[in-house]
Amino acid sequence: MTVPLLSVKNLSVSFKTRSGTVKVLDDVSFSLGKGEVLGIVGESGSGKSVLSYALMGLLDENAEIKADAIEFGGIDLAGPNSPLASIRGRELSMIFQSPRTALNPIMKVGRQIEDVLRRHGPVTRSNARAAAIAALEKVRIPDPERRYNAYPFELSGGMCQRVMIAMALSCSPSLLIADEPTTGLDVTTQAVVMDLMRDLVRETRMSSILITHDLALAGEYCDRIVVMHAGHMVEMAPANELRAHFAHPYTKGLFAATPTAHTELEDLSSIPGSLPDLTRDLPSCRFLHRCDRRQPDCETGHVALAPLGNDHSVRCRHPL
Amino acid sequence: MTVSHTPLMKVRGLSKRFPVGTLRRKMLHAVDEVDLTIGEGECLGLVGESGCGKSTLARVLARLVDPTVGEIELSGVEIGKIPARNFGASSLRRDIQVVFQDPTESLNPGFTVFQAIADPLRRLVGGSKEDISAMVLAALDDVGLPREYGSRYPHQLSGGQKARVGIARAIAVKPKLLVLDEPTSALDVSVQSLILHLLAKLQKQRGMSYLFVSHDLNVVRLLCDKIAVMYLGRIVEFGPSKSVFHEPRHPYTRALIDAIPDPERKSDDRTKLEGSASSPIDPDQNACRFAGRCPVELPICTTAMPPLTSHGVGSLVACHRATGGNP
Amino acid sequence: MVDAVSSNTHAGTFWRDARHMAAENKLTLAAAIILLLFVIISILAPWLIPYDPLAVDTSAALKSPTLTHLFGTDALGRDILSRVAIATRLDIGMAIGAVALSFIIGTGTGAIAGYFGGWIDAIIGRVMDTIMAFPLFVLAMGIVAALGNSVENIVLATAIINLPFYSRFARSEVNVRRDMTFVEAARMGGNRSLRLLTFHIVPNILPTMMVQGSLNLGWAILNAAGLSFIGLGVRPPTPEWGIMVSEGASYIFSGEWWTFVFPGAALVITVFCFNLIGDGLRDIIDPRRRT
Repeated sequence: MTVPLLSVKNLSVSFKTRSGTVKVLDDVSFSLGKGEVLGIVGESGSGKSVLSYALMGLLDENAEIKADAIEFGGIDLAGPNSPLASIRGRELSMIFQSPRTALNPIMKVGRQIEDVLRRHGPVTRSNARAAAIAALEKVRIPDPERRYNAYPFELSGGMCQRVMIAMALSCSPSLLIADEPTTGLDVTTQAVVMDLMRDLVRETRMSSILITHDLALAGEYCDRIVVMHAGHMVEMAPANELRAHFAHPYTKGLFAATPTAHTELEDLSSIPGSLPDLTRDLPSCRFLHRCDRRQPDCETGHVALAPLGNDHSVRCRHPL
Repeated sequence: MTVSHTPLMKVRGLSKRFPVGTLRRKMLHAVDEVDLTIGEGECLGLVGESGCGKSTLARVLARLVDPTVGEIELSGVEIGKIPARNFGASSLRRDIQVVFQDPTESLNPGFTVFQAIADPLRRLVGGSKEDISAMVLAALDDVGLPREYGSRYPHQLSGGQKARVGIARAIAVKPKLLVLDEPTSALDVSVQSLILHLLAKLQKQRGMSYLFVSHDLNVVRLLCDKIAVMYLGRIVEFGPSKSVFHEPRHPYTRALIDAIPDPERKSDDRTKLEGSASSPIDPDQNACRFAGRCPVELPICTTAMPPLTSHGVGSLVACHRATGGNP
Repeated sequence: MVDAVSSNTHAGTFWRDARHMAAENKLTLAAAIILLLFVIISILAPWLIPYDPLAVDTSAALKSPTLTHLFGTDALGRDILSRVAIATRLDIGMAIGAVALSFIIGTGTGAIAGYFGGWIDAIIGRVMDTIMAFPLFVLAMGIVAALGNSVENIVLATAIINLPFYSRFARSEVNVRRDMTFVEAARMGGNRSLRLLTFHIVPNILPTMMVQGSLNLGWAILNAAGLSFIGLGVRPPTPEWGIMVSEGASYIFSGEWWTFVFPGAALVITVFCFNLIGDGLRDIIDPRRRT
């Protein structure tokens, strides 16, 4: 078994707020190999974005982060001497939702790419412009010399996202985290951006984590998928395996609610109930009150992520 | 969904242009020469990507915005000529209502659920306090919200609950036509499913017509009898949902369908639309708007605007290649 | 990010947030208590004070603070403590009156300008620009000088010079909300423009406007006191902090410090408390504050 690039063990995140302590993430553990694309799928409130921010160290002071281990390329990121600040942006890179707002609106796009290149790379002032234009070419932006001088508001959403990708990849990171990169983009633009990301990732053998609420998107572009609900990982499996043999009732509900080219309205169902209140004391299975397969023993004891074989694990006492 | 052939709304030659540019001399063609018919009890889907003009068209048809040229007839009455700012005082206002995209932004943060639903009732329907109250509670029942939620404020509701309030507010006045502007785009997939079912149920119960505007072809197909595909202000394809979705004639429709994420897609080849749409400002009226991006472009596409021609029963497509050009 | 947490204060959470903020920020809580005390004094002063504030006793003139006259006496032998206490009503009253007047007219004109735009916006904008073109205190002086020395005119002058502050703020707040979908929804519900503005939009901007108002109160007191200090507005023998500081200023070098320190301190404390409360209100209501 090769050493994974990223290994997260028992990560928990809580926020202190006016309404109490919100236990946003609990007991998240997964590993990511080199060149692998991991999808983290969940609805709003699942904690998927918080997970990515926690890995990048972007949460603010009222976040309490606890983990047994967060190891990146063998380096421990969770401890007090974490070198996160120095490797962030260089080895570990991220692209965000709403690319236009993630870019500096009053700076030309080319300048912004140059800034990233010069901060992290062996790029000097004289060859920065050429390197920036090369980066724009790499993400297939047409007419890169002209676009170099553009401001973010002059570019479409899809192009802004490509600029973000160019910036994120400029230092050849080993891990790219993409947090809902195509939400808000047209579906045709989404296809282009996702295909671009897939090609670049394959070319460089970079690992990536794709965070999305779209199960179909994760199914098409990811090797493995983690399904999250209310701060817990409820299931993890290779994409094909998940689609064919999902085991957690929530995963089943998600698939049943996602329209495909072949479903009709009658086939579409929904998941009953709603997210539990994360400020209260929660049962070990946070899906308990929404589950139609609930059994008496689901309410007692600790429900842990258990392997099912085939690289497939599920957090459920009575998986499907 | 019983579809009657009596047209509820007839739209002829509708265009909406905005003056733009530093001297306001250039015109942005948001909607260009659109013809549409919505039957009674029918659900028409309006599909297209950002900038195609579908939201503008929806707002013009809902009479929030005035058309530049064109006719809009509702149950035989010409409503396009009544200025939008006076339409609120007209008795026709209650016949067309809108459910907006972002449930959070579309609810006044200072109004309770009850007040939000009661306000249009007071203004458009009238009646005693008891009458209004009864209508509000009936609307809450219809959308599946507990009556106690009437005293809640929007920030105390979930996304799905807010969406329901938006729907309750729109249907409380019993409109003939409900315009839905991306009603589920901001919702989680499970909540979306609930709302779609709710909308289908309401339509059947009340015989309302729907104009369902969305960028998601998959979702539109589930609810709508007919689909119109828009590109840069023009309708490029129209027909029954199943045939538009499973047998698209226009290359843009095909690209839209191909772009839907498909976990079972094995091969990498599908029509990918590179670049972005050409400018809607002063577009060339003698060329197809899709020229320059079209994967199957013909020489005639840059010299003549393809007209909407019919093929099959009730289907239309505006494409030189689809209607006679060599395949 | 975490949508179980909302950092927006809305109807219903105000008092909970107020308690939270008071717990976090003891200084603001202290300011609120002191101000409450001042308000009580302003109401009950006539029954609490030991001496008649207008009673002249030249034999007891310029006595330093003693147990009989806790704040000392002024040049005419009047008890300074009583005068400072009675003046509380006038000073705080003038400030609140000026701010209320300014708030109502300023918010109204700003909201109309922000909603309708066009020539209405242009006219209102030019009026506000004209006011702002003057050094505001000088303009206030001019207004009081032109209209006559009276408490009403001080309030009016202070209100006028503050109009642009509210008007521009209301204008931009309304502008932001004008294109939001809940406004379109209200139009769908048959609301015409003026009704929309009054019942749907303005109630939404009131919380932030009130924060502006509370921050303005301290400034308004200083303005009113300042006008009295230079002799415009309140006439002697009316007890008012500004006038009292002005009368006491002649004694800076001769050493009768109590004649100006106590009224001055009252001014300083009041302004300070108003400002702290304004900040506290803004912390509760402003959605961008940190949790």
